Amino acid sequence: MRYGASQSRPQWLLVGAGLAVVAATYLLLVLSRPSGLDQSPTANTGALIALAGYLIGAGLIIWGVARQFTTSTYALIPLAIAINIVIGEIVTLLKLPLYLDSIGTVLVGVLVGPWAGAATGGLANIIWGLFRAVPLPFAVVAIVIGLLAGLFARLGWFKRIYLVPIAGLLTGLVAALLSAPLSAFIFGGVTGGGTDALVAAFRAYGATLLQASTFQGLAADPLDKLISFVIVYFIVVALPPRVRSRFSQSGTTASQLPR
Amino acid sequence: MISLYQPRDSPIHRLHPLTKLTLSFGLIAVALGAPVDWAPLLLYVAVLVPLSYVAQVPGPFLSTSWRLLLPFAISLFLIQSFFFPEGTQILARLGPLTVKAEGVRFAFASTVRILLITGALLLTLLTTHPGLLMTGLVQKGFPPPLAYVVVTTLQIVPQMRERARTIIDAQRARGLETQGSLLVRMRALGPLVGPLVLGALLDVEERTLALEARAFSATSAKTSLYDLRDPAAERIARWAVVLGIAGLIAWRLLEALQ
Repeated sequence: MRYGASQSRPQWLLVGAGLAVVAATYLLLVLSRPSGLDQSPTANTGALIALAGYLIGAGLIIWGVARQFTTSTYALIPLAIAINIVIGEIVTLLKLPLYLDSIGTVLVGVLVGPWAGAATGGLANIIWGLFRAVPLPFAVVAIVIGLLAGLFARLGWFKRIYLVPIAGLLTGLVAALLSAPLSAFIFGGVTGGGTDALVAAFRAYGATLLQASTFQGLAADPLDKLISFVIVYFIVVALPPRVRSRFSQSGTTASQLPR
Repeated sequence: MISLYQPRDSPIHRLHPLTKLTLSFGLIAVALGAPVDWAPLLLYVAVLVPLSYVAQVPGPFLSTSWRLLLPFAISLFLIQSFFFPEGTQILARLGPLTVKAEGVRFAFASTVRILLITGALLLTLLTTHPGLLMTGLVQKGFPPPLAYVVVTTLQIVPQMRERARTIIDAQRARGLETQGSLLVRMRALGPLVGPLVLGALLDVEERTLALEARAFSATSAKTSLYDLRDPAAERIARWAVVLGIAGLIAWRLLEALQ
């Protein structure tokens, strides 16, 4: 069931500008290394640039894709974000050493498309931000997770079960690299969780803070996204055909388990 | 609906939501753009805390603020004090570990930065009803479908939690192990996540019909139930703050590039 939307394509100018701002911020903070991380009095400059660049970039991308979806996609996105939040809580209840807080985002990316996944990720972090403020700067990371999940599905990677974990691994890799400067420049390299011990270990071996946050992300994110992607694969395969065929990109996924 | 909103009758509650949001980001920009690393603490104590009294929400403000800060502060002081390879000034020795002055200073700077960023946003969130926040943003050109998504999610989460609780109870009644070794707990994930997601996807069709029956995809301007006041003074103040933020970022950016 599809209804008309006011626009059918992203506003490429806005989306392109958003991606360019994020890329420029990343390159500036990671490759050219301004004086942000040393003990100079301008220690907050790195935080200011990271926060402004990532927030403006996320805003432009979300704005650029906001008006193009069908009504059923807008009906799906809140459910997907609630899935993110509630599965995150189930994982805490089961005391698993994972986050698994982007299953809904990946699901929308796979079933509807990359830009719907991107919008779901970005809005999910904005809504989390309404309670904890901390996830707000990481909206770009969530956008990229949804975007990549959708692109991998479009490339047919969700038709082959052995490609799904690889797609998850690659997405986790990008997420870890992208979130490292935020973590290092704004949050002093820590997340307030158990994986912070890794930061201490890497620092003890003389790594810079940015390197230590990157390594910490690489130790946690790829495995987490790998498991999320595999879970989404099994959910999509298990969907009744009547439900699956409602979503526009569902033709790019496997319809049954390999025998 | 889940939210941090505290209903009161204060001058801050009466400001236009966008004004509060802009001022929050302005305060964050000033704190991060200042050349001293204790500026965020000063602004928190001298601006945010008094404002929380004006808004009649000092209790929720301080408790939420510290609850959000605490895990970061503990991690920061533990890790950065002891593991700061760039540091040279040694304050104390504890066996093989050394506390370095630069590390403690870095932990302090990061802690007060997180305190100010979260505090500035918190004050807006505590004094603004999320529905009104979205109405205010839509009035200023924010895409209406996205406002729908935000408000609906806040309403769905409690229902979804309730559904998750039912599923957990049902599966436990059928003998599902939710405690034990890591493998056992991992295996419990499928029977819990599967029904939850499937149930949500089945809801989509019904919600789509309900939306279409209410002209969701109509492109004409829609009338809002709420009429938000937006005095000229607030509009001018917002533009001044936005220009100030842009100038500050440009200045800091040029300085960093040199």
